[in-house]
Amino acid sequence: MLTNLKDKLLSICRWMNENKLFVFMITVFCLLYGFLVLYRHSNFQTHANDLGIYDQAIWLYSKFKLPFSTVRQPNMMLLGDHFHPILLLFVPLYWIWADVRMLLISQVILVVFSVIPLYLITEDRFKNRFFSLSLAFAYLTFFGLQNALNFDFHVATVSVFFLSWLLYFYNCDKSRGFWIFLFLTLICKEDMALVCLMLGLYDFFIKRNYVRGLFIFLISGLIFMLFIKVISPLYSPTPATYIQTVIPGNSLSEQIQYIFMHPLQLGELFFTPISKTQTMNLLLISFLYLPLFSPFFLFLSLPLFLERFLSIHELRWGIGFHYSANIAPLLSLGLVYGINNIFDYLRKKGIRISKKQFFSYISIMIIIISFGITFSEKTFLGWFGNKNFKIDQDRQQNIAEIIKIVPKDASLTAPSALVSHLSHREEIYFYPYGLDVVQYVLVSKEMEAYPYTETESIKEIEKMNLNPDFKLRLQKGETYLFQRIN
Amino acid sequence: MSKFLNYVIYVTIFSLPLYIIRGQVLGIPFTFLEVLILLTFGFWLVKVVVEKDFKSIKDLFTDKRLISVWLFLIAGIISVFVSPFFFLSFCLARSRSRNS
Repeated sequence: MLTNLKDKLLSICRWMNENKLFVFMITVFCLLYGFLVLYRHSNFQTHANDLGIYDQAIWLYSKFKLPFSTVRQPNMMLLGDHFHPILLLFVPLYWIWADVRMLLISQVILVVFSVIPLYLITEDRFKNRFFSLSLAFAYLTFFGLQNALNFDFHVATVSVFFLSWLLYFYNCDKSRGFWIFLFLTLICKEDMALVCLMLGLYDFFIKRNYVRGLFIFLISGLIFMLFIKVISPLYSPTPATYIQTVIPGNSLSEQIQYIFMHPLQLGELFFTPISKTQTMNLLLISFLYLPLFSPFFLFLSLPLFLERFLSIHELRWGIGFHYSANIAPLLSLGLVYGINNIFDYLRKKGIRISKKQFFSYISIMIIIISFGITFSEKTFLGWFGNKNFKIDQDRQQNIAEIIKIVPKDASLTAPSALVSHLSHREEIYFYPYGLDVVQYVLVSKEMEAYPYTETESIKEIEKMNLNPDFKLRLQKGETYLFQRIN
Repeated sequence: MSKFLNYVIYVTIFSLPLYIIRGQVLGIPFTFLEVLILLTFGFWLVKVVVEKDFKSIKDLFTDKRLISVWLFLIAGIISVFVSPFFFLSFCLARSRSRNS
């Protein structure tokens, strides 16, 4: 057993030694993204939605309590929002150091390490080091991942790690790893069940693995339906987002009927308004549109595209937040398979091309495009070029002093930007929610006060000063702590 | 001259994905691809004038192989003018996808 472990460690060290540049790249990206997420959090730029929500949930899990979130919605069981038992994997981290920064750091590590399977597959298929490194670079600077890391913490972002390794084990046909990562991917988020469902169909129809394909299809479908039909209606006051689509119809059957009766209108709903097409274009151009030559990509990404671009929620159509994260492994692997298919086609047609020149061209293009998108779309890494890239230490100190005064088990409502700094308690809301029930109220003019504008938040502070139920306990700078007296 | 022009045309074709790189030339927003297309067009024009090859201008309108190109161009121009959002359509037609 020990010799086996020693051999494995030695082979990993040997591999790292042979791939020094790649290891260096991973280390640099871990440091860059790690620095950015910690800077963002220290500078009060993280939010109640979703960092506060997940932090409170994992903290509750770590105390062996059910994740009844007060941040998401008063006393809402968080499993009604998304199906994410994977959060339990983060619990041991909170036993070591119960701090929200643990989540941010682990998310960065998971996202950056999700590039390893892609690199392994590319090296194995094409044996072109420059191309493998370029694709790894394009993946790590992909705007979807950058924007996801720039948006707090989310299971959709975390899922790229598990999906990426699942696809690796599928590609290499390594059975044990495949089943382990299939299970882990399925418990990441309900839309991953839809991707796995399509993987089952791909396995069944294209790869002709009838038994395995059918099993993957059934288990994935079962988990998705369990969430939509049982868990979500049980715990969430609003229907699951997958049902809230722009397709006309009052029920799922009416919507399916509409799809068959009006296929052209469905196309219009899918591609318009123009922001949807722009996002699709940006997703595909990041990988030179080559994933379109891969049936594997088309199969697996279909549910992600449909769910996103037929949704009624406009936020999902754009390039921001975490909405473009979980498609990253599919796009990058789609590029690899797409190139493979192009080579196969050319070989069948008897057309010979210089693979070296082809890979050099593709490599240079994806690197230039990665840089272009990073700077033109103002993504996360572009922050390094920002002149206002500094921490307001006075504000940080003031808020730290105020936070010290709030008892650890006291109920509290605070601006969204402060919630994730205080969410290790059973009752925390983001202002103005929970005003009737909390013991403490924190308000501030010094940071973003979503859902209020700056002027509105000043009025809110004046209102709090006049509120007979609260007295001002402490003021530091432009941040105020009120304590309930009635 | 012809060899150089051919080279520029190849570079432009292989740089098609670079429409994503944006910048400004003399204060006017441009994409990298637009600059390359304009440069290629400029080189072609210089070649026509220097070599007095005015027949190639006539060929643009008479060569049947270019019908599909003209159709795309005309369709694009019509789309811009019939669109309710002229400016946005114009920018999209210029391959400027976002924040034009």
